[in-house]
Amino acid sequence: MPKFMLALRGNMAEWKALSATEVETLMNHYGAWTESLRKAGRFESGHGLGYKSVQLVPPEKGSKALARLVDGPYVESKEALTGYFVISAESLDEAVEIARGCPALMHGETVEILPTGD
Amino acid sequence: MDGEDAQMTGVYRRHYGKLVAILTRLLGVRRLDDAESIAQEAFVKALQTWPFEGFPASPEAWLTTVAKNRALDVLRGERTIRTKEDALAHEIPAAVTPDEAFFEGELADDQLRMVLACCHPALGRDAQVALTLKTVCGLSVKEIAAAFLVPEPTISQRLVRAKHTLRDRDVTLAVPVGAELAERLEIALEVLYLLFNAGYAATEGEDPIKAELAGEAIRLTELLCAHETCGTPTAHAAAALFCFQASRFEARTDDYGELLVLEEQDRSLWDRRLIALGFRHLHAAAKGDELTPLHLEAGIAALHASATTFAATDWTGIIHHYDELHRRSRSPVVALNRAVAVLMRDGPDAALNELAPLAKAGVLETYAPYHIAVGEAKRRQGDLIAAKEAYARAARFAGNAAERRFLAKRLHQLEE
Repeated sequence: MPKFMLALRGNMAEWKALSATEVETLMNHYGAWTESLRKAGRFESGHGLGYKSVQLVPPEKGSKALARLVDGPYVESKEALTGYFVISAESLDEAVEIARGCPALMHGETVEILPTGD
Repeated sequence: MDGEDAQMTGVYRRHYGKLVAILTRLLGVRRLDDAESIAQEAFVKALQTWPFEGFPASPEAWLTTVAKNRALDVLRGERTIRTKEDALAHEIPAAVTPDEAFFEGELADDQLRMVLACCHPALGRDAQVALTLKTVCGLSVKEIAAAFLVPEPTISQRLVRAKHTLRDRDVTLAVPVGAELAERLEIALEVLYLLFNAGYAATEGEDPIKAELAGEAIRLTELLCAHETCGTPTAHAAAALFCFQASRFEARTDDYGELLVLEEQDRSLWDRRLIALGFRHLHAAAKGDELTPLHLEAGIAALHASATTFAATDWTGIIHHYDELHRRSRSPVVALNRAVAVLMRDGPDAALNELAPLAKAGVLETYAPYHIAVGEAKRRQGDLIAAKEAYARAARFAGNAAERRFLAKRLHQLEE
């Protein structure tokens, strides 16, 4: 079955403003959603991200310099990658249908669905 | 997030409070802010982990371990900076493992101390309430603001000032002794009384968190009761009162969420377990020779709880309790409640005799329950026009939508 990556993007700075009750609600939804994916054999893997990151920037074309290491992108930015899931689905349509249930959408994150070519 | 899908059990909220209490013990009251952010960080970390890698067997132990280790890191870092060497760092355990992280007795004690710190006499009542809700009950600023209909910035400022005061006074988490303990307990019980009433008054359609405050008040009062020096007869009286009142929670409204008075309630819906617990606390409250207003209020609630039907209510006993209360407080509201009990025992003429002078005093003029009592007495006298007038006045001063609907229902019944 084809695999899809669900990329979660949001502003992690806002997570700190979530109340304990809001976290509880989110967790209950995540528990139910991932449980149903696992039961249906659609859950492949996933990881939370959103930690401080660095990136390598390539040198100018033709330059022999090493790639430059810089900080960021910052997790406080609006569209930081906060986590990803890899799921299996029959089609992009089905992957979108599954992604609609992703609780990340409940607290303002976007969910990008990327076919992997598998 | 929608309220309707919030299957709220309050587990996380309570656990947040426990984390703050543990962290405050480690870091000190002066660093309450840090304790709160570390507790919050633990929740963020959980959101980054559990959905992707699966939920831990004990979420509480997981959160506690993460939070405690973070606090130890902070302390170790500071100590290293201070001493320029690790000589003292060995006093701090390297890390906490989940198995040893949990000890309910220790937790309960931490929370109790936290409640007492929040109820420090240097803080105003509003600040005591807000701080307790934020740090012990785990409500967010937004949730506190919604429950008490106060703007969010006001609550934030209250909290900031309260924490400054605690820092300036160098308040510790120690359980006070002697006269200081008595003062602190009195404040704590008043704060819990406020929390209970705010929760008890919550109606359908209001912020769902608000209704949970009654349960929080009971939980924290039980914490006081279980403690060796804090479990005074008065603390037990408060617990008894809350249990009796809360036992009627389900019976208080009909299938449509409309309010029902005691007379209309289906007594089979009263929570027997809470009533039994109430009587156990009442028994403990009777030890010693103190008779506080809380004892008397609990006594009245107990008389209601033990009446199998409305008609079987011991109104004479209730009137005696109100007499005692009135002797102490001179409160017009107590006098009003006494008049309602007189209405039930002796009828409308006797009740109106008591109600008339109360209106002259003036303070009850804008108090809806006063006009409801007059309306009910007039109705029983057969003076329907005066009854309608009284209910209409009551509607003007009703506190919330549920009360207004209740009064509209009463007026409608008079039309029939």
